[in-house]
Amino acid sequence: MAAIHDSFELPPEKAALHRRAVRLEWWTVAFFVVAITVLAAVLGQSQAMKAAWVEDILALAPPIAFLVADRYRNRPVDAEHPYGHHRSVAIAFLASALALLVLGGYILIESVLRLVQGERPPIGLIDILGHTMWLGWPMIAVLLVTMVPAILLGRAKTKLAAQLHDKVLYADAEMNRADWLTAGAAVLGIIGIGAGLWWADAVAAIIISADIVRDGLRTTRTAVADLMDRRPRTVTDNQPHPLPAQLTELALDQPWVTDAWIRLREEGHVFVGEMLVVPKPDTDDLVKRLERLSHQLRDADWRMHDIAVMPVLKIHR
Amino acid sequence: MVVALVVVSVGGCQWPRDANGTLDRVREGTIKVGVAHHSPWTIANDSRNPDQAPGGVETVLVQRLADSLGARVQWVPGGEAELMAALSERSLDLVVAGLDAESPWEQKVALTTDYLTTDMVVAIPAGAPTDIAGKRVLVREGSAEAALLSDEDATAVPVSEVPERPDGAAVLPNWLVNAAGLTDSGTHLSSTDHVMAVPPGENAWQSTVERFLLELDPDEVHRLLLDNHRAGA
Repeated sequence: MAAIHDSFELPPEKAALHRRAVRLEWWTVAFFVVAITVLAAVLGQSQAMKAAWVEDILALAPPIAFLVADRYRNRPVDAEHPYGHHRSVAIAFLASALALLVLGGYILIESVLRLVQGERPPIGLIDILGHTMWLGWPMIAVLLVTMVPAILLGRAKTKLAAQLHDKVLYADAEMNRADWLTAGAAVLGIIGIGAGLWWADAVAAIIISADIVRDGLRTTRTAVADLMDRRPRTVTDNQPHPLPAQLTELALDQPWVTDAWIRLREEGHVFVGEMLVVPKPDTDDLVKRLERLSHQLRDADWRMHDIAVMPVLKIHR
Repeated sequence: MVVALVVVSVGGCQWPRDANGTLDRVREGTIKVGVAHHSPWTIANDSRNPDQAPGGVETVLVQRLADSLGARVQWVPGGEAELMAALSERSLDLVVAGLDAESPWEQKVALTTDYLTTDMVVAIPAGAPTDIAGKRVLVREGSAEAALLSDEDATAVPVSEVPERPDGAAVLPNWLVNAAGLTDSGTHLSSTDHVMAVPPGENAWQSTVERFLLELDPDEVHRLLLDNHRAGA
C-alpha cells in the first residue's frame, strides 16, 4: 500500500548495467587524469597541444557529474526533499551538456582567432635519449594513444546509455567522441604544420569544433527542456517517448474508465506524473480500482516511478 | 598508420617544411640576425662604429652555423623588444640575446631548444665550509641573485662588479667558478636554459638551428664563454 514511493530500485538486469556504467565512468576519470598529466609533460609551445589539454580537463566534467549524481539519485524521500533526489541526474546532465558546449565554443573561438591573426605554430626538434627527432612525431604519438581509449569508452557508453535511459552517460559519450575527433584534427594539423601549411592546424580544429558546438547546443537544449518538464523523449534519437500514449491506452482499457489524460515528466532516468481518469457513474469500489490502476501503471515500464491517479467528473481539454 | 603514411609519402624530402621557405632562402644566401647586447653571450657593436661585427659567444656560434650553410650573416643590432617584433614579422631570421627558455617572448616567436644550462652558484674558496648560512657573499648589485641570497640566510654584499679573483665567497656563473680560483659550494641560486629565437612556423629553419645547437659540445661553449669573458673584462 506504499502510495508514497520513497525510493527507486533498478530492475536487477538494469542494476548490473548501471554498475558497469559507474565502473566505466571511474575508468574515464582515471584515463583523463593520466592523459592530462602526460600531455602537460609534452605541451611545449604548441597552441594545438594546449587546446587538447584544456579539452581533456573539460572532458572530466561529465564523468564527475555522473558520479556525483549517482551518489544522490537514489536517496530516499525526506522531509526536505518530498520529491526525492532524482533531479540530481537532470542537473548532472545540464552540467555535462554545458561542458560539451563550452569545449566546442572554446576550440572554435580559439581556432578562428589563430587563423585570423595568422599565428604560425612552431614545432622544432626534441632530443629523446640521445635521438634527435621532430617534436611533431611524439606529439602525434601521444594524441593517437589518447584517441584509442576515448573511442572505446565512448562506444561502450553510447550502448549503455540507451539501455539505461541515462542522458548523462550519453552526454559523456558525446564528450568522448568530441575528444577523439579533436585529437584526430590535431594530428592532421601537426602533419599540416610539418608540411609547411601553418593554417592546417586551425582549419582542422574549426571544422571539428563546429561539429562539437552543434552537438553541445543540441544537448544543452535537451537538458534545459528536461528541467522545464518537457514531455519525455528517447535518449538516443530524441523522439517523443511512447510511454505516455501506452499508459493512457492502458487506463482506457479498463472497463470502468470512460476517459483518461496523463502528463509525465523526466526526473533523471525515471518518469513521474499525474493521470486523470473519468470513471463510469456509480462505479463501485472506486478507491480500490484507482489503486490497482496506479499499480498497473507503475509496473508497465521500469522507468515509471511515481504516478498519482486522480478521479474527475470530466476532463476539460 | 597515419604516421607511417606520411613518412612514406615525404620520404627523402625536407621534413618538417617552412611555412615561408626561410631555410631555402638563407642557404647559400644571407641570414639576417638580430643581436641585443647581453655580455658575454652577445656583445653588440658600438653604435658609432656600425660596420664592426658584434662579439660574444652566440655570435661566434651563429657565424659557425652560417658557415655550415654556406651563408653570410647580416647583423642587425637593436633592443631585444624591437628585434623580437621584427622576428615575429619574419623581417629577421634569427635573434641572439643570451635568451632564456623561460622568456616571455615565447608567445610571439619560436624559441629553439636549449643548448646549454648555466647556473648562478655560490662559489667559495677551496676547503671552506659549504654551509653559507650567516656568511658574507659578494654579489653583483641589483641582480636577482642578491635577493635570492637572503633565502639562503647568507649576508649579501652588493658590489658593482664581482672581482676577477674574489678572496671570499661570491655569486658567479658556474662556468666561471674554477677560473676565479674558487669551488662550487653546492648552493645554486638560479638556473638559465640558453636558447635562440627564430620566426614562428619556419620549422625547417628552426630544426636546422636546433640540430646545430644540439650537436654543440658544452665544454667548448664553456671555453668560448671564458674567452669572451676575458676579452670583455
